[in-house]
Amino acid sequence: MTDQDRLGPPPVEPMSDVEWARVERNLWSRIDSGAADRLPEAPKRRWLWLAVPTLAVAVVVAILFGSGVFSSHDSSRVISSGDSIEPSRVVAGAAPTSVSFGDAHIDLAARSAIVMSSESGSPSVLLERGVATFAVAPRANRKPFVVRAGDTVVRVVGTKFTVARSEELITVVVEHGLVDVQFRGATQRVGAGETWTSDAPTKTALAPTSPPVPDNVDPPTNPPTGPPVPDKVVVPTNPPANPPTSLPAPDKVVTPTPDKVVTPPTTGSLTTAKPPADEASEFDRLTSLEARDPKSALAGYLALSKGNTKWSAVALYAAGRLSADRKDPRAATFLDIYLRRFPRGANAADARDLLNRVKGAPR
Amino acid sequence: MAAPSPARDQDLALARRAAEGERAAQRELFQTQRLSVHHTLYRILGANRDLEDLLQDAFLEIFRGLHSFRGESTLARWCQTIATRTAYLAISRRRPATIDLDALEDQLAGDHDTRRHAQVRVAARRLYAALEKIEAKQRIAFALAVIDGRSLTEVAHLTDSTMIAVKTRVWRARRDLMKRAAKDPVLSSYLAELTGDEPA
Repeated sequence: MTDQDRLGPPPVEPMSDVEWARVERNLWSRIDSGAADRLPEAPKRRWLWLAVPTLAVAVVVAILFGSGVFSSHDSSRVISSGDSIEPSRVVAGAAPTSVSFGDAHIDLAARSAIVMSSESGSPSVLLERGVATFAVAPRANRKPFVVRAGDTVVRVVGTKFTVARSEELITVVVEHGLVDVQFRGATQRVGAGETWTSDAPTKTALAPTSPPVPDNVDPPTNPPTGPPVPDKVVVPTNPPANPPTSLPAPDKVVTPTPDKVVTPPTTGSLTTAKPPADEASEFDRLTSLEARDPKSALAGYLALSKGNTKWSAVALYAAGRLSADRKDPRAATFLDIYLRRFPRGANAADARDLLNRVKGAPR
Repeated sequence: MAAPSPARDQDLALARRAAEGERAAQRELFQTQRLSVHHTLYRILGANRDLEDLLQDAFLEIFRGLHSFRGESTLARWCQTIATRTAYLAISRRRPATIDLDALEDQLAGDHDTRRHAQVRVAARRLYAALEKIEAKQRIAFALAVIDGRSLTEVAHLTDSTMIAVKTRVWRARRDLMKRAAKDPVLSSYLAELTGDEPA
């Protein structure tokens, strides 16, 4: 056999960017869900680079960080928002948790996740999923405190308002002050007691009493208890089926302007019924099961989808996603049923995209 | 104990930060090691089918085990060891895949490169179809040592085995494959090329 005849070892076929993105997205999702709970107890965290200012704070850090990032029990953490810090992620497990970030206090609802970072002294929080309540000190001489939720960016100058996100539907409820909502090039001023939604970006309405809290997360139960923090922001979102892998580029900006005092809404709710906790646990279990037993996971998703809660919707979408991932021809059917049953569901946009891809994919 | 070096210090620092749950470090580790882990899994399994799930499994195991990383090997080698273990578990728990060899007959017409590429694909798929039928440890040893061209020492390290055990597994795998290739000239010829033997 001559060298020219030699075939050589088979080449390693690379995976596409889409496949890699899916791997990464699902990996973080699994870490955040059931798989994360099985991570070993992290050693006591060492946040030396944070320069925790006082011994008292250090003690709090030592006690509360001992549970590790992936712990599922209630905990609190204190992080300095110094001039520039590396992104730091906090995930709440089955119970709420809280964290102090510079001069802000953040309460995280169960199964919520945030990433905190700071650049040039400007603190920034990315809400990956769930509900977070922010109590932020007035920004008079300080850099703006920025909260990102999906494509929405909230710049807290010193006011009190609420932003709710359910996938592409954004709702802004102003409690104190006045905000300018920038959405696709248009700016809408929203005053106290008013609400704005991305469904009708040029209109405002009387504010409901609370934003539409997704029913697959538990709202925070403990009010801010940190230092005097007059301003508060609540940013709820649905846990995305596909958590972001990087900070999104904003195309909606909410810029509050302070000084207009209004009575915070106290009654009423857009909140839908909270599903039983065991459905959430079952969904987490099925998510963890996907890799090692996809057939059972699919069967579980389909069983869970027969109900009429938000988890039914999430489970039905998951069945479609899993089937599509595995090139199962039933994917189109599941996604089609999902869109018929839940046309405005949390995963409707993703389901439409996926359905288009499935239908357009070469067989 | 490995000698201190800047690379080792970097590996240890990254592993420590990732083990502590710092997502930025976990992302960095994923980005720096993903191709190496994918390469290892691909070499053992022979296709990208199911690799998305296995990559996730491998990196979950990597993150779980990072607290035990001591820098005695490079982080890349350490991750490859876990990838090898992940592949072993995957092979052990699944039934042999049904591969339609008739569907593998690529177009062999065309220029030399195209033809050669098609030949490699056909031969490789036949090889991995045969590997599906042999014992997992032998398969892994053969894939890493013969197909990927790694040294027996390295394979022994990756599979947490002795060099003698690896050598034995490679020999048995080759013997088994040769038997299976007796009636398959494409596979027989390809095996001969990879192992340096005469075609059966």
